[in-house]
Amino acid sequence: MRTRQTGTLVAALLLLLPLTACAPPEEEITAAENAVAEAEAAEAPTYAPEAWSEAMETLTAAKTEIETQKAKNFVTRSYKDARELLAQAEQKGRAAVTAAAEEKARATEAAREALDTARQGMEEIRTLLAELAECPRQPKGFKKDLELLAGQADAIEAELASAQQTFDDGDIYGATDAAAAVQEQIDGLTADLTSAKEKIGC
Amino acid sequence: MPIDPRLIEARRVGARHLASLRDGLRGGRPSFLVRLFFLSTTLATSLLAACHGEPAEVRVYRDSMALAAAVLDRDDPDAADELRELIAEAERVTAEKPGREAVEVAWRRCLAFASEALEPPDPEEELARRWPEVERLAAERLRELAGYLDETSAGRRTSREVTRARMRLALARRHAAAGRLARATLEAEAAMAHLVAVTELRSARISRFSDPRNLALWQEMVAATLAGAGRRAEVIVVDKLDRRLSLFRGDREVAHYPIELGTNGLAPKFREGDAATPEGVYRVVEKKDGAETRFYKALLIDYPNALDRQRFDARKAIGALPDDARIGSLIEIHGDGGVGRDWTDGCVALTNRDMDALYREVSEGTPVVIVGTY
Repeated sequence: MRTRQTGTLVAALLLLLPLTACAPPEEEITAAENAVAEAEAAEAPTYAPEAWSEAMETLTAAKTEIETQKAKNFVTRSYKDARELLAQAEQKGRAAVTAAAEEKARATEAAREALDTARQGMEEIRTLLAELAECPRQPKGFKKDLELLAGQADAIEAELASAQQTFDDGDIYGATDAAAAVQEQIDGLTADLTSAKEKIGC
Repeated sequence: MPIDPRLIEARRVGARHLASLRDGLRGGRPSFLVRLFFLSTTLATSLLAACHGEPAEVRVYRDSMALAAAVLDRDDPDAADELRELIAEAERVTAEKPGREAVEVAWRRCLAFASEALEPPDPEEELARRWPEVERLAAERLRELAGYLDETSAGRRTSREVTRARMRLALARRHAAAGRLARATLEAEAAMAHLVAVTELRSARISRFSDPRNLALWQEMVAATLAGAGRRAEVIVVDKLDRRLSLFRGDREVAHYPIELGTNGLAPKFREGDAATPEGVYRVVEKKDGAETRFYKALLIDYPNALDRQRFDARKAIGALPDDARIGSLIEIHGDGGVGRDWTDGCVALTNRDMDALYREVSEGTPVVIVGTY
């Protein structure tokens, strides 16, 4: 009697085993989705777009595979490939988090450096303008030139403040581009002022 | 036969979106509700087709397509024409009565076209699409206004705005080169805003030249000076806006020369150091030559005259000028001009050749009338 009961129990368990094995891998799905969400929160689409795309594509492939398996009957259904893809998606999501953090740190440092360099350049421009204004030799039209040059310096200063604001708002690449555009103007104006200073022997 | 509740619902939804579509005709862009309307129309037509005959189905299509064409007339006339051609074709097919399926296909073609044509553009795509045009306009306007920096009234603020526009356009091009066209458009539009500021600054500075009261006053000053000088006497008339010095003998202009003014020459002179060229009736009080002047040859005029002093005192009294402001002096008509832009501290400059000619004709006491224009 006992042997018969045990046999029934084992048979039931054996029957249930494939059924439980055929359930969608919910835990793995959650883990993979969380990893991808973390990557998005870490701004991976901006700072690690390739790693982000890979993670997203793998997660999508895993979900497609799960849907494919769901459509099959329980005898042929298998979530083995889906589990593997989900594990890969999770891993790629985590890799995207790391890559984004590294790139963001690098870009932030580069932008900060560019803004600092521009600020120094701006200080130099103000010094050159002050020296020119006090120059005893002032040729024809010099005052007008000086006024227009001061206007250029004002513009550069305003754009530099705007680039700094872009940086403060967290748009690091935007700030880098803006700082580069500012630096271009600083270089041009510094060259003009230096040349004017030499020309009039100031 | 009981009415299918789904048909009632489809009609209700259809009517609501029809109203939304009609609202679209009165302004605003077709919203996603418009697309939803087409969806509901499809649902309604399917149900109608199931419950009723062909006329009701075609009627719903016809009404919605007519409205779609009307919306497109405003937003995209070419698409509206194309849709009307498809509608005409669908009507032709319907009239031929080739069977329900063929009619359905013809009208569905209209529906598909209208749905796509009414799809509101993605804001990013819309911005990106505008980039070439905005870039061209900003570049053109910048070229045009950069030349204005050489004009008298262009000062530090103008230079600032022109430079900011130039920088924004450079940044826009940087974004465009990296494929960020929407952002490029926004930056180019920011450049345009700075250029608008330049135009406004310029207009504010030159608006007094088109004021009829000023014009009448200046004309009167010139006429009175010429009339008072006598038939054979020389009179110098300076037109600041035209940058022209005319030498009159009696009421006849016997010579004229291009001139350059103070760096702020178009403005009325209020005080020493404002680089403005004064306006008023003066006289040559000294002729300078050789070592007497830094500017080849010069005709010193009697600025400030009594009227200038009166105006200066009045402005000072109301606080329009600081306490330490001085009225200035040493306004001359002198040589060394021909620079190609206004550059003096308020004097009138001619080329040395023109100065030679003028110098010969003019004596101490010659009236000099300087006006905005006349």
